[in-house]
Amino acid sequence: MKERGFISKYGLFATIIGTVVGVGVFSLPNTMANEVGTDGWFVVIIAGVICFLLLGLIYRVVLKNNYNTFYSMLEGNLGSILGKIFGIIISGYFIISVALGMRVFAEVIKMYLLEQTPTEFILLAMIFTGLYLVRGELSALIKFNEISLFAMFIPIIIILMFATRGGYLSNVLPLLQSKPEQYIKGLVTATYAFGGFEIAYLVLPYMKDKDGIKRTFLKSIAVITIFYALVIILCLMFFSKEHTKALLWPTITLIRAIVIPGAFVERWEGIVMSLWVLFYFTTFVNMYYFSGDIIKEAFRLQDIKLSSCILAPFIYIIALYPQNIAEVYDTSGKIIPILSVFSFVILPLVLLFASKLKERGKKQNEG
Amino acid sequence: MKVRKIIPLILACLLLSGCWDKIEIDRKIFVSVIGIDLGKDSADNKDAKKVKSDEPFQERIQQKKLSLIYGFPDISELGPGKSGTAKDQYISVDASSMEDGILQATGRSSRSIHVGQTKLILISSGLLDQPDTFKEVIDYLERHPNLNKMMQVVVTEGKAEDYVKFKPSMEKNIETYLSGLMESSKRNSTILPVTLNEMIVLLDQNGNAIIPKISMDKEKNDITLSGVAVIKNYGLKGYMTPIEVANLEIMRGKVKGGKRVIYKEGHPVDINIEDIDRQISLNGDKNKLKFNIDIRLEGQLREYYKGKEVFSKEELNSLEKDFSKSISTECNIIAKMLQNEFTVDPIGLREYLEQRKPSVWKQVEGKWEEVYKNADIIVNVNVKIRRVGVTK
Repeated sequence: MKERGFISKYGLFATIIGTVVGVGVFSLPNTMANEVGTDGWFVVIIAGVICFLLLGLIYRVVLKNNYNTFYSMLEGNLGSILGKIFGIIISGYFIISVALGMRVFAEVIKMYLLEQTPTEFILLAMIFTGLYLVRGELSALIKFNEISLFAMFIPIIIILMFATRGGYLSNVLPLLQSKPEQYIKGLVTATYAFGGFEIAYLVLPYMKDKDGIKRTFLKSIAVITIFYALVIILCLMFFSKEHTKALLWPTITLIRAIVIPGAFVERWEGIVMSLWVLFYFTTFVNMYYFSGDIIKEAFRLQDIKLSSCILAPFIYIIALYPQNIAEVYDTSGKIIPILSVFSFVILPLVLLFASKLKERGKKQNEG
Repeated sequence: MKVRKIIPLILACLLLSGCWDKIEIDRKIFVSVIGIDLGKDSADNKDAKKVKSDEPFQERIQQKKLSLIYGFPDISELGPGKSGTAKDQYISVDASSMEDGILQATGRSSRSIHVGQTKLILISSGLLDQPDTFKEVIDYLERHPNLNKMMQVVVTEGKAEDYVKFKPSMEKNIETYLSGLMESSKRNSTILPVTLNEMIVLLDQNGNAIIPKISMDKEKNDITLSGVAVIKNYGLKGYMTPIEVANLEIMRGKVKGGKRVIYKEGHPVDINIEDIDRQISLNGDKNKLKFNIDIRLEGQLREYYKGKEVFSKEELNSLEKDFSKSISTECNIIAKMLQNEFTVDPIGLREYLEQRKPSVWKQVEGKWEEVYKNADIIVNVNVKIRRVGVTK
């Protein structure tokens, strides 16, 4: 805790967006179409509200614990053994989701850009680049997020503007025709798409300015929600419900299908595909850093450089473990929900109760 | 000190960068048009059906279901100071599937084949007679990550190969010719350009689609766009003539130009369609659906007869009435034909129901075909002549 308070509000904003928006957005329109048909965008907005509330919960936890870092919070409230277990589970959750995401990403790159390049090589290149950034400590990471946010969103918004041509808005109709249980299921899936906002635990203790954090939360979640909803609507407009259900990565297919009127650049998907690299990379490094940070504190390691090196092989192995792309989605569909529920809901609630109990205990002792 | 750090980095970039995907551009063939015909063994599927899927040496079946032709520009003709388009060269192969076609073609050329730049796909009418084979082709086109989803799809009357080999008099190759034709034909409303993406989306919805058709006039050495092919359940159901397509386009509310004519006292009166607005409404219940399609067409008078004055409200009104009646009747006939002859619904009534009247749609979803066949479709066209040119 040498230099506390160096992260600006914009840094928090960029970090949350960069962490949450990753490979999930490739397949999100497909999963939403399968679960709630044409209502995906609507469900995503509700999921955004839920995530904002969950972020509020995290904020309260951090506030109660006086802006302590994540691990000292765990240890302080739950004791060293339970704290260690919780820390390892959370860090395992990040590593698994990052690794599976990396496999998806490598498959996408292999499919569209580098057909002959071995998956192993793509993974290694990714991990090493991430490792390099993580070794630069938190301030470098936040700076990277701040810069890449523009590099990601400005081009993608311009591209999506062109995507409005050629689609039919009426394909987004009808509204609200699914069954209630479908909505609940869809809502749960949509909420997983926001996985990664827990990065707030990492960032909040280092905030320069402690006021107006909630506003920043609101802004960042709003941006993500709008982006998700926009992508879903565009995919429905372009491919209709039925075809979106059939496509593995509707978002990428959509971007490849865009034609710029009077185009002076043709076949520009190469550029777009390399844009996705940034999208995934920010998710990857942020989560990687966070789990490295937890491991570092849990095992009293010297610094993040060591713990991140220890985690790297795990990422590589987990990413290579699934036999094929279907298994990747199958595995992540089985593991991620459990871990997400743990990290979205159970963890903050446990922390909140524990700190309340502690407070009460203190008061009783005093009294 | 710094230099010592930088030099290994530069060396690493030079020596370790991934070279798996390196292909020199002059070693590539950029396919610009693919023609798909039925192969010689297309009809006989016995061998393939006999084989169990786990037997060895399944390649031996060699059933040449498809006959494919790949057209690609002769790159040597392109270059600075030369024209932007080049004459096509071809590779034609017999293949058991689309992927096999690429393989066969690779075996016949000294360069690697790249289909990502394809601009046009020609499907022969013969292929549409075999829904099973057509489904295989569609799956390939859908699954391929690099195919350009915005390429034009066209059905050819007769063999697709002849069309790929065709030398148009205006352009150097067929894909430039056809895409230009489509572009300009948007204005006369007798043609509906369809991209691969649109076709796949339509087929995914219920197996029906409409694709523009081209035919060849051997004597005049001409290719013309001549209506559309109606596809039902992945098979060819029939063709619509350009006039029918023009009416269909009006009912779809998608006209972007084109002219209509009536004869008055033996003289043609032409109007140019400039704008269209379509409203569908639904009456009746699930047993008998009644669709009212109200269309407002706006146009400009282009030609009449010297000496006749149209610059009066009454005269224009009577012309408008004649146009309205004539087009309405035509549309009603075409709608009937679509219902009874084709039982496909390119007007978009199914989409209308599904999107706007979901409660009704849920009741009729299971037996849509029958319900559609029995439904009443009443088209009511209202023509407005807004402008008359610069003379009275």
